[in-house]
Parts: sequence; structure tokens; C-alpha cells
Amino acid sequence: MNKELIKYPLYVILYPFKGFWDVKYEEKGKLGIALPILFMLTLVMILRRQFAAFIVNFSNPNELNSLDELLFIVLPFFLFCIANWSITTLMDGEGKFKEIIIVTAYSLVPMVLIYPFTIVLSHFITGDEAIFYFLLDGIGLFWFIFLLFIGIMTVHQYSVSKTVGTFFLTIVVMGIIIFLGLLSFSLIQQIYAFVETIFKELTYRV
Amino acid sequence: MKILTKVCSILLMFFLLLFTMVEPMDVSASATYPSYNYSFWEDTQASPAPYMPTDILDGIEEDYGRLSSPEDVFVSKDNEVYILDSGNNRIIVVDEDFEFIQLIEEFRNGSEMDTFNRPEGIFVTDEGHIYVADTNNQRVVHLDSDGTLVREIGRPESDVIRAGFEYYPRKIAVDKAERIYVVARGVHDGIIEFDSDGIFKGFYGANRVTFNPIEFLWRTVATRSQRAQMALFIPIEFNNLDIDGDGFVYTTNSERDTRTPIQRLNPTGTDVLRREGYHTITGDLEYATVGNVVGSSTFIDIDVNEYGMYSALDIRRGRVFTYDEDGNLLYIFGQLGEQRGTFRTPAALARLNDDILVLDKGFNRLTRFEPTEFGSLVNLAVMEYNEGNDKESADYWGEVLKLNSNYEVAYIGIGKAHLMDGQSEEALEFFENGFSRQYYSKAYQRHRRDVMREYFAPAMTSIVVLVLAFFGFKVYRRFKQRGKEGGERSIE
Repeated sequence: MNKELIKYPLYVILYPFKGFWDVKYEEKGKLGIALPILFMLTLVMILRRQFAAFIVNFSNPNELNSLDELLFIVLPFFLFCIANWSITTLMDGEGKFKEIIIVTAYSLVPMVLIYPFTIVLSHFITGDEAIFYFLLDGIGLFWFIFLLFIGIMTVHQYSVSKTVGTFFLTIVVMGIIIFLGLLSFSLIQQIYAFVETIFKELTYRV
Repeated sequence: MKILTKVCSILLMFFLLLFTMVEPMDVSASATYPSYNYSFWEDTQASPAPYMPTDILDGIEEDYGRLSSPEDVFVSKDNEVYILDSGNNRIIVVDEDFEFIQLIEEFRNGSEMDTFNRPEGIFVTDEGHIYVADTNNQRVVHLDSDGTLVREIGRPESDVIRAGFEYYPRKIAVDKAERIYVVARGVHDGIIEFDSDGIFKGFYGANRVTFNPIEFLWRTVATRSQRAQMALFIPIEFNNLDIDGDGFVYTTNSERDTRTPIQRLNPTGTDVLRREGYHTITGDLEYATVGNVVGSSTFIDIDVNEYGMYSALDIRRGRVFTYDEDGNLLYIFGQLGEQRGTFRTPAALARLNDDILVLDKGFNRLTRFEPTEFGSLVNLAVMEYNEGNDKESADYWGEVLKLNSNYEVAYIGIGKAHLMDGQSEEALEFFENGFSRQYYSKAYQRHRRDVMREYFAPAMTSIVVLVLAFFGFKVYRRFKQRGKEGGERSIE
């Protein structure tokens, strides 16, 4: 993997239209870079919970759990990708699953870059200045949403209105997936309990 | 060998026995229930017991006989305890050791002897004058310190009183200007205020009607006859009151799940209670919603001391919650039960020096609670802080932390003392442990300024020096290069 591809996400976040176009048609995006970005975001979020200064850190130290953090970032990430892929294949989207993952992960880069900076910053501010911390956080978040929007629009070759529609449907599908997941989970649990009861009954009688 | 082991074991047993006998049996050190307090995160946390029950007054072995459903207790300025023994229609006055002083059963009213009829409230002024809310006689009785009638104040007369108004005064308080505040049964308009001549002045501090959107929706949907069947929107009535040294009236009410069961009313009747603590001032934060005892704490009496600390008595679970003037929950004690130090139907509480007296209408007795080491340290710390002695207060808070290191209020107290002392860096850690972002910010701002002041000059000097050195080096290099080129040129 050459150096240019590793630097490429930084180019994408500054020139999203050209950047995402090249991800799709020039093979500039790599899964091998996208997944480390996701991992880095998880790491940054864990660090943020643990090390952001007292003044802006409202998390209960008794309830910190890095695995939860992993769950709340990696799971929604793939949930979004799968939901988006399922919707766009039905709606003439041109993006492949791999491209969706790359685009989503590359959009996370602003957060990966800004959050470590705000963690450090938080140690040098007072309560009145905390607004700058939250402002930077907000910039990171909106930048991410903006990039994601452009990225999804580009890889599927959609119009703006159609992208907005797909985003809405993606959220609905995410809900459906969670619902089905919980449903099957509880069904499996019941089947397991049923089989277990039969087994016990048999061992008592036979 | 066998005999030796036998002898050894017997000796051992003997010593063990001896130790158990020598060991002091500290019975009073354990309460009949576990003590707790709420952490910043609203978890219940085990805490040292703040108060312990000591003696009990029930009148069983006294000449005046046992109490009968007493309704109120008041401690006068001279530490005389006035017990309103409502079932026997009398007032029992005892001193601070519960030794009998005086009994007021009847008083001369005109040419006849008069008595009380189920009185429910008593107040004694600094001059020793006794005001009794003589509930079923529908009047307030004003006696002097000997129990001689001064005057009686009847029902309020005014145009604002609605027709069919039934006047049953329940609780009473008198301020320094001898204005009389009366809480009456079934009165939703607020506290009834009389001036010093006993003339009705108006209602004071009316509780606002709470608005419930769901109920409003039902009301709009319902037909007229259905609406008539529904409960009326009526403001909550107060159920008790107390007056602090500055003339502010502390009130309690028994509304369900209210956010403001305790209010501090200023002279215009607005609630000005400070709510700077970690939690809402509602007694228990965690409570069952199903089961035998459900719902939030219901306060029926409140007592405020001269340091702004106030204790409120919860009838639902028989607990006493004490807050400081900022609204920090300091400690909790008491419980419903059958044992000493627990209550059946708590009715009133009063503060006698540092002790707290709780009157139990169900068990017909008055229980004295004395502060433990922990409780008195907290009291001292709050007192010193209130009087502006941050340093002494911090010392007491430090002692408190030795007994209960989870006591977050104490960290803030110590932090404040450090901040006052100019040790802002030390203060930071205490404020962080006390979860006070406001004071942490204040301390950090000062700390940052101090650091900047200390390092600004050297930092600026070194930057200037570095910049100068950089340019100097560049000039030097250019000069050298030119010299070289010149040299080369000269060689050519």
C-alpha cells in the first residue's frame, strides 16, 4: 500500500466531491484503510470518555466499559452500511457494499482528527469556555454528516432529494433490522428453553 | 501429651471467655436500621449513622400521666420543650433533660375556665408567649408564659373569604414582628396571615395549581357531566411551617410526586429555597412504585435552625432528612417500625440544641436523637461555614471524610477553604471529588492565571531569544555562503 493511499482520506475530507468520485472510479479507497479508521474512532471515543477533563466529562466512572464503547460504534456502523446497501440495491444505487463501507469510514475522519484535539483542549478550559469544546465537537459531527451525505450521493450516483430519501429509509431499515434481530434472539432463546425442558423431562423419566 | 493439649485448650477457652467479658459491649453504637445517603450519581450508599435515639418521653412514669396522640412539639429559646398533648387537651412543658416544669390544662377566659379542644399546633415566641392553634375550637389562643390568656383570635373576617369557609387552624408560627401565620385544614389559598393585632391580612404564599397536559386532554374530550365528576384543579394545601431568623417561612406540603415539597417563602410569598445541591430537595430519591409503601417522601413537619440547616420529617417512611442552606442533603435517619428510634405515625419534629426531637402520634411518645460523632462533625462544619469560618469548617469536613470518605459535600467544603487561601491548585482535586464544576472552574481559572503569570516572562524571553538566534543563524549562513561564493569567485 503506497503512501498516497494512506494520505488519501485527508484529501477526501477537504475535497469530498472529487475525493469520493475517485474512490468510486479510480480505486483510491481501500478497505484496509477504512477499517483502521473505524478502529481509531472507537479508540478515540474510549479515550474521550476516560480522559476528557472533569469539566466536560459527565460519564460515571463506575459505568465505563470499553467493550460497550466498541459495541456502540462498530455495531451502528455496520448496521448503517448493511441497511444502506439493502435499500440502495432496491433503488438503483450504483454503489457496492465495499464502497459504502469505505465512504462511511472515510467520513469519520474529521471526528478522529478533532476529538483527540478537544480531549487535550478540555484540560485547559474553565466551565465558561466549555462552549468551545462543544463547538469543536459539533463541527466534527456536522462535518461527518456532510461527508457521509456527499459520499453516499456520489457512490450511488443519486440526486440530492433521492439521497435524503434513502437516508430516511436507511434509518427505518436499521430499526427493522434491530427489531428482527431481537425477535429472532428471543425466539432462539425460547426454542432453547423448550429443548432444554424436554431434555430434562426425558432424563427424569427414562 | 494428651493432658497437655487438654490443659492448653481449657486455658485457651478461658482466655477467650475472658476477652469476651472484658470487651465493652457497645450496644448504642449500632442503629436498628442501616444508615444511608445518596451519592452524586443518586445511588444509595452506606453511611455512618448521623443520629442515635437516646431517651424517650411518654409520660408513663410521670405524675402528669401518659401522652395521648400528641400533635406538636416546640422548643423555645430557653430550651424548654412544649409538648402539645392533643388527646388530653393540654400542654406539657419540660426542660431540656425532660424534667417536668409546667402543665397547662385550662386558662381563665373572662369569668369562666376555658380549655383546648384537640389543638394541633403550638408556637412559643422568644418572650415565652404561647400561641396554640386550637383546632376544633376554631381559634388561635394566645397565652403568656404563665399560661394566662392574653387574647383569642377567631376566624379570619374579610371579603376574600369564600362563603361556607370552615376554619380549622392546624399549625401556627409567629414572626419577630408578631405577625401570625396559620396553616388551616382544607385551605388551598395559602397560609392565613394575621397582623400583630390579630386582624386578618390576607393569604400568603399560595401554592400554584399544577398543570397536567394529559389531564387537560381528557378534560377537553369529556362531556360536561363527566367533567363535573372529575377532581377539581385545586392548589395544594400546606401542611406545616416554620420561621427562620430572617423571617423567611419554610413550608411543607403533601402533594404527590411534587418537585417542591419544601418551600422557603420570602415576604412576598415567592419560593426562594436555594437548590444548589446535587439533587432535588424531595427526600428519598429512590423509592418503590409498587408494594406496601409507595411514592415519594411526604413531609409533615420542618424545622430550620439558625445556621440555615433544615430538617424535614417524612411521614411515609418515618425518616428525617436534613439539608444545609444550599440544599445539599446532609444526612438521613429514622424509620417506621416498632423499636426504639423508629416511629409508627411521626407527627412533628423540633431541634433542641444539636439534638432532634421527633414526636410520634402513634406510639404517644417523644424520642430524642443525639448526634453521633459523624453527625456532630457535619453540624459543626455547616455551622462554621455559615459563620464564615472556612478554615475551621474545612477542618471539620476533613474529620467527616475520615469517617465517611464518600461524603461529597465535605470535599467541596475543603476545596472552598483552599480556594479562599489562594491554593487553587490544591482546591482543584477537592472540587473534582465533590463534583462541583462551578467551583472547579473558578479554581482552575485562578490556577491558570497563576501559572501564566509565573511562566509568561521566561516563556516570552526564550521565544524572543530563539527567534533572534534563528535569524542570526540565517544571516550568519548567508554571510558565510556569500563569503564562500566570493572566495570561489576570487579563485576563478
